[in-house]
Amino acid sequence: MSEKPLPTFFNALQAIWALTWKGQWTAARLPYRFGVLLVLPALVLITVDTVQRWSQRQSSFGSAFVQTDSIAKRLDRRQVPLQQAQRDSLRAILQEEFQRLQSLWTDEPNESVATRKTRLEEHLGEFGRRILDRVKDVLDGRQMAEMRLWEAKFRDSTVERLSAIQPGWGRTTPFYHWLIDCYFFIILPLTCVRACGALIRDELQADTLGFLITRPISRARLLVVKYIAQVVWLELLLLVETLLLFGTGFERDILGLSALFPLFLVVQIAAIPAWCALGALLGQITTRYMAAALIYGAVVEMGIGRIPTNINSLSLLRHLETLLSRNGTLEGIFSWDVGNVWVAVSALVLAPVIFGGIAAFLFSMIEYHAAAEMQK
Amino acid sequence: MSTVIQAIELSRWYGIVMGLNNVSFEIEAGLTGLVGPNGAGKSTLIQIITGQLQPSSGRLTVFGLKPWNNPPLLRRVGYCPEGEAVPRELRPMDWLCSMGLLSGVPPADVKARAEAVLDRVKLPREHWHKRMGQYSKGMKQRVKLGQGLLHEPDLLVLDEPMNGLDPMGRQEVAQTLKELAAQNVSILVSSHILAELESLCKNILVLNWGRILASGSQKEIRADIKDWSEELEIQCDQPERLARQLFDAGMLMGFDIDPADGRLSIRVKDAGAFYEQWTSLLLQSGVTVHGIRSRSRSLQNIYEKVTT
Repeated sequence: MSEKPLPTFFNALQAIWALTWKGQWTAARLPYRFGVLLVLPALVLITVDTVQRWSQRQSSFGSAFVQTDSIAKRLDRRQVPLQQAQRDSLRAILQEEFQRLQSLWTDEPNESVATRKTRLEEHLGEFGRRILDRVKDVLDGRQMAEMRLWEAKFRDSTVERLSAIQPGWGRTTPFYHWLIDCYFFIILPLTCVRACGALIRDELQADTLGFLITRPISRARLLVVKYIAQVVWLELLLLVETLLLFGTGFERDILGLSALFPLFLVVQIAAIPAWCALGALLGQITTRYMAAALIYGAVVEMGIGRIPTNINSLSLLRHLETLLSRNGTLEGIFSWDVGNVWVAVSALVLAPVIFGGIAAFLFSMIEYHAAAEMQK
Repeated sequence: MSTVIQAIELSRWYGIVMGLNNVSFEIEAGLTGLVGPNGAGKSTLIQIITGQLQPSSGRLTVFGLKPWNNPPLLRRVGYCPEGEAVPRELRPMDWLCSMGLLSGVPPADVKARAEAVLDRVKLPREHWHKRMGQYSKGMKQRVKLGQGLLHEPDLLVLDEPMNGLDPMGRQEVAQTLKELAAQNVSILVSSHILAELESLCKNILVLNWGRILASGSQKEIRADIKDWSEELEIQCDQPERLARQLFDAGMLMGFDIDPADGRLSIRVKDAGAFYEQWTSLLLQSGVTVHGIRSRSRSLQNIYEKVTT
C-alpha cells in the first residue's frame, strides 16, 4: 500500500483558518458583530465631552448671577448699597460679559502652565476693562471704587485658579479609564478567553468535533492550528475595536493619544496570544471556562498580582501595566506598581507557550463525549 | 482475505457503565455491517476504530495499527458520524475544501476532489451555494458521506449513513458503497435498518449489551445458530397436499396453512437435505407452485435469533 501524504502544518492552518472565519461573516451575524464592536466607542462618545461642551460645563470663569450677588453684598458692607435698578443693570452687563468671556476662551491642550497663565491674564484683563467701562454709567463714584477692587480680586483669583488646572485632564481622564480599565483589562481578556475556551467545546456542542479529530493530524497540532487561527482572527477583530476606540479618542481631542497608539498596539498584539492560551487551557480543564476565568482573575490577577513580592510576577495584568507605563500619559494617570520591562516581555512570550503547551498536552490525552457536553 | 480490523479482548467502560465487554473479533476487507439495538456498543466500537476513544482494556488495531492519535493510520480511514451535525454556517464546497486540506489532499486538487465527491454522493449542484443550515437531513447525510470520501480512504466507517434519506437516496448511497467496495475500499457500516445491510453486506457483526453475539457471513451465522430452522412461505394451488407430501418425507418440523389465501408456511428440519430433495418431492406431489419466499434468511431473523 503506497504511503498517503499527511497534511502539512500550513495546509492544516489554512483549512482551520477558513473554517474559523467563513462561518463568522453571514448576513445574520454581521450586524451583531458590528454592533458589538460599536458598543464601547459609543459609550466613550456618550460619556467623554467635547472640548467645547466640557468648557461650558466646567463654567470655568464663574457665574454672572453669583458674582452680581457677591458685588451687591460687598457694597452693602461698605454702606453703598445698590438700588434695584442698578442691580438689574449690573446683572445684565455681567451676564453679557461673562458669556463673552467664556465663549472667547479656548483650552489649548498642549500649552505650558506659564503660557496659559499669561493668556488668562490678558483675557481677564480685557474682560475687566470692558466691565468697568460699561458699569461707570450705572454706579456712583464710591461704588465704582469698590467695583475696581472686586475686578482686581476676581482677575487674580481666577488666573490663579485656572492656570493651576492641567488643561483638559478633567475631561480626558475618563477616556483612558474606558480604554485601559474597561477595554484592555476586562473586555479584551474575557473576549480572548471566551473565544479560545470554546475552541473544542463549541465543536463538541455542535457535535462536529468528530469530523476534526478523525483527520490525519495529531491532536496537539490540531489544537495549535485552531489556536493560531483564532488568535489571528482576534488580532484582526480587536485591531478594529482599537482603531474605533482611538478614532473616538481623536474625535474627542483626547490628550496624548498619538504617542500612546504604537505602544498600545504592540502590547495588545502581545497580550492577545497570552489571554487566548489561558482560554484554551481553561477550556481543556473545564466546561465552565468563563467562570474559571473570573476565578482566575480574582485570585491571580487581583489577589496574587497585587502582593508586593516576587509572586506578583504570576499576574499577566501586572506585566501589561509594566509595558503600558512606558507611556508618560498613562503613567501619570494610573498609579501602577510596575516591575521590570524585560521580565514583562519574557512573561508575555512564555505565557502562550506554557498555557498552550499544557492545553495541547491535555487535548492529546482527553476523550470527549459529545452527549455529555450537549447536556451542559 | 486480509484482516482490516482486529479486536482482542477489547473492553471500554464509561465509569461504571460498560460500553464494550471483552470482545474479540476480526473484520475482513469488504463490506461489513454492524448491527445492534441502541446501547449495544456500536458507536463506542466505531469511535475506538476511528481514534476518538481509547480502549479501557484489550487491544484494537486497524490495518495493524492502534488508531488513537495516529495520523498515518487516520489518513487511510474515512468517517461519517451519526446524526445530522454539520457546520451550519458553511457552504458544502467551503467545508469539503477545508476537510480535504486537513486530510492531506494537495491544495491544487482539493477543489476538484470536493466537486467530484459531491457529484458522487449526488448532491444536486443547485444546492452547492446554500449554507448547510438550510439543508434537509438527507442532503446533510450526502455531504457528510462526501467528506468521508474526500481523501480516498482504504477503510470507510459509516455510522447510520442511511438515516434521513428517502428510498431513492438509500438506493443511491447503497450503490455508491457497492462501487467503493468494488474498488477495494473496506467499509464498515452500522444501521438499524437491517434490510439495507442484508442486501449490502456479506459479513455482519451483531452486537448487544457490549458483546459480540455473532460475526461472519450471514450464511456462517445461520450455521452457528443451534436451533436454526429454515422457514418458507409457499404460494401454491394445493397447500394441504404439498404439506402432507413434505411431512411424510420427514422434512418438516411443523407447518401452517393460512385459510384466507391458502399460503403454506413450513419449518424445515434440515435445510441442506430439504433443498436437495425439494424438486423431486414437488414433482411427485403434482402441486403447482406460484411463489416461494424464505422468512428465516432475512437479517432481521438472524438478528432476532442471536439476540434472544
